[in-house]
Amino acid sequence: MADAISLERLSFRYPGSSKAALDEVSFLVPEGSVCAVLGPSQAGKTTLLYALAGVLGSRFANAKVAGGLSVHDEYFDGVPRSILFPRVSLVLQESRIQITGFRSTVREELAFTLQNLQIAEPESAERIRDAAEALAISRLLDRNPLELSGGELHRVAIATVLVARPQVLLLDEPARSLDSNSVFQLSRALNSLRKSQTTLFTDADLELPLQLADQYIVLNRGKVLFTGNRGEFINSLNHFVGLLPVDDWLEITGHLRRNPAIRQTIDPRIRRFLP
Amino acid sequence: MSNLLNQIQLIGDRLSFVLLVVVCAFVFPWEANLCVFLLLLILQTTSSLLRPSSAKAGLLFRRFVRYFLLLTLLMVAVNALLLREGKIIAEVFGVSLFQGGAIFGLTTGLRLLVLATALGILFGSTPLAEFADYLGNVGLPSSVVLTLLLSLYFVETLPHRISRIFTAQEARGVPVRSNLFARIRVFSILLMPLMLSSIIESIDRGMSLELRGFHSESRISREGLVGVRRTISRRSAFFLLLASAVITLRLALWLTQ
Repeated sequence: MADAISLERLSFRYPGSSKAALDEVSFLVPEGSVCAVLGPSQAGKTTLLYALAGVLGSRFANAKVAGGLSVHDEYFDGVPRSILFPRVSLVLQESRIQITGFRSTVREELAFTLQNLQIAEPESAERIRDAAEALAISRLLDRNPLELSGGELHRVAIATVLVARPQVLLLDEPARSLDSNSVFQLSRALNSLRKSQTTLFTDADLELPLQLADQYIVLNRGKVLFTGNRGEFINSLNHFVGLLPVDDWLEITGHLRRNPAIRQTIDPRIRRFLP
Repeated sequence: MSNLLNQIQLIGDRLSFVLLVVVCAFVFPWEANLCVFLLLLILQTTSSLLRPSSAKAGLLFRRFVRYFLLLTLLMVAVNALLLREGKIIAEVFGVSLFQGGAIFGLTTGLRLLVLATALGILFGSTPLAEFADYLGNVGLPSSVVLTLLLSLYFVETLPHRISRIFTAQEARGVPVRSNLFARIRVFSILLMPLMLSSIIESIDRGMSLELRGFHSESRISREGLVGVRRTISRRSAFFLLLASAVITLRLALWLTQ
């Protein structure tokens, strides 16, 4: 399988800062995979997404950059100098910001992206329908986006870029401030998109990553501490005490090792993510 | 398609009407501006061109006008008190109010009130999405439209932000809504964080629009209407002619004085 994203010793330092926000970051993300970028606050997760989307290059022309990255075989020396939309689409951390605020229905909000791409009817309607079905927001299409719940708004925010049919979808902490049920719905929706594009999302928690991701990257202070698949990640959880909220998972896996019978007492939704 | 053309034409008509009112506000004496203000209030409820686009827009318009009305009254009172010109028109608790100051306050206050009411009518009757389409359609670059929209969005959401901050302060036991002075005191403290957070949000919002391709100069308006209609309707032409006539008349009066 070809790599959708490849980073080669990418370093980035914000203008005026003495510390590198990304420090020789290297990893590969295979095409069609769902990759979770984990780490505590200030680890460089958002900077990494901004680098991939072209935000860093377009905003900070004087920043210190080294290394390079590739997105679907297109190589960039340093970081892309312009926004890569629609090939690479980024959903910001706060879904309220992603919504324009001047479209009165979700349908119009999604159509706004397509107008920017000069995609007219009937393709526009088809793309809106597909994105709405994939993210389970069809019933919300005629509602005002500003009147939706946090979980619903988040899925609408993802749909606003999904209609552009990106090759790479970047999500900045999509599970942040969502309740467990909303995280589960989001996970189910993102899982249904698995085949159509490569997804890379950041998180400081483990709930969504363990439900959804098949590739894991752990960052701390701009450096990559770990890259690997689900099995490798779960087996290495004890290395991330203090960086990630792994205590509950370590406790569960510890109990399982000591007494495999308790596996049956665990909620089936969680059970399927256990080693 | 014809609905959208009508919508674009309507916004053009509204803008021309607002331009006429702005000209009147600056040219007319306070008595005439008082009539213009009352006429605007009547037209806002009776004319299909100027009616609010939603119940929420109507409510916001009424609040907006109420604030400016209060401001006008305050301006009249302060000027009548401080500008000691002309005869004394009233004495309140031993304090004299002067006619010259009151007229100056009325002239300035009513001018402001008419301008605010006209702008309130424009934005109350035109949803931001339609206004954005109109601006794009008349050939404004998308970066200018974006700047305008972000500013308008900021103004539109400002009351909500302030209310949210007030509620948060109330939850901490600050008596923010107890009286006008308490409101003013709290507001002055919160003004800077409010402005800063709004600026930061505007930057983020601008970035999010850019991330959805809004900067593309070749973007299409709703249902692909770019450049379809750039002509002026009869109603717009009438308003613009009337505005020109008012300016000409004022200039003529000024020259003959």
